[in-house]
Amino acid sequence: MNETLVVIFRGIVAFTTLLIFTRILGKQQISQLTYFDYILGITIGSTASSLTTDLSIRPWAHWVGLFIWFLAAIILQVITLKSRKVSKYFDGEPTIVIMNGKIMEDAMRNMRYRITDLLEQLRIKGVFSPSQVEFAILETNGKLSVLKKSQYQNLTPKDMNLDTKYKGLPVELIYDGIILEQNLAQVGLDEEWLKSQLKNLLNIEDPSEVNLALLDTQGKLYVDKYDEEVEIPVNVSDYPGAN
Amino acid sequence: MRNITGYMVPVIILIIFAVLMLSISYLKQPLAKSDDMMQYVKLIKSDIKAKKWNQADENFKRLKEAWKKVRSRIQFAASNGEIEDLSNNLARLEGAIEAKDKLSSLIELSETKNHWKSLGK
Repeated sequence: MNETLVVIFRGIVAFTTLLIFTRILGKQQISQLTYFDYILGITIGSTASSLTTDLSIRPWAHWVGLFIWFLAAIILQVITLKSRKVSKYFDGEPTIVIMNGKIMEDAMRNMRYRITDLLEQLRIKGVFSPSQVEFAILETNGKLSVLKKSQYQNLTPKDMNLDTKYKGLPVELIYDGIILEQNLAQVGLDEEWLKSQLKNLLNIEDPSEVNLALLDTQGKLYVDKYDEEVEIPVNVSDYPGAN
Repeated sequence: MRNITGYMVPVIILIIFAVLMLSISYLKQPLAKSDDMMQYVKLIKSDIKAKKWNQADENFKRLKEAWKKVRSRIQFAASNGEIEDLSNNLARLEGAIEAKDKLSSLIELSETKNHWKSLGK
């Protein structure tokens, strides 16, 4: 038995299977990681790792284990999507932990959530006293959402009755030296225009010199070249050489 | 069309993996006369019963060669233990034939047969 060859084969199977399964499970895994999702991720990953290196068990047994966890996760996703009751049962509900500056001790005790954790998460949000908080809600993924009292909220242009210009998503026109024709057409421009802009404004002859070019909604072009000479004012490293 | 391909490619890949991992029962079957392990086991058994030790030794060498071929085919779908068990059986059988020990030889042959049957089940 050639162990190296077998591990290579099993590695390819585990990697590809994991890639397919996580792709099907979707973005929820990363963006809304509840405690269960977290455990699910660890278990699936651990099974895939055993599939690769634990040669004492047939790969099929590991693979079926991996598939069952994936299937259970998919079924749970579908059920929680269809039924709000089941969703609440499995994922829990967001809980109010501060209301009008007052800490909800009972709710916190039920969740075994400590005051020190609450204060820490408030500080991360830039709030240093619970008295500034109108509502603080502990979300099902463990993150704290904070609504500050109106007197502590940031001043916005709307508060000052100021008119603002529309700001949308910038469009990528060059990525890694390659002109993105599709994006150019989307904003009603062409390659000629882009090349002339690069030459006239920044004296760039060839788009391949550009690492990234973005066009914002105000028509302003942002260009980052590969060979930019940036003077480093302070060396933050404590040691010579690479860091 | 692109959408269908997007779904079909991963499904086909997963099916191929499943087939490869479940293929031991087929891969252990002889592709030629030279790797028909159970045929050699039968021959060795009759040789031992007839006390034809030289003949048994010859057939054992063929059995060992056949196992080498089969092992390389099934190694990707079988567990380490299954392969080790059968290899150890053959190693003990070799010693028993060399010692012309009828009892041990027949025990090892019987266990070899049993391990062979459980391969892929």
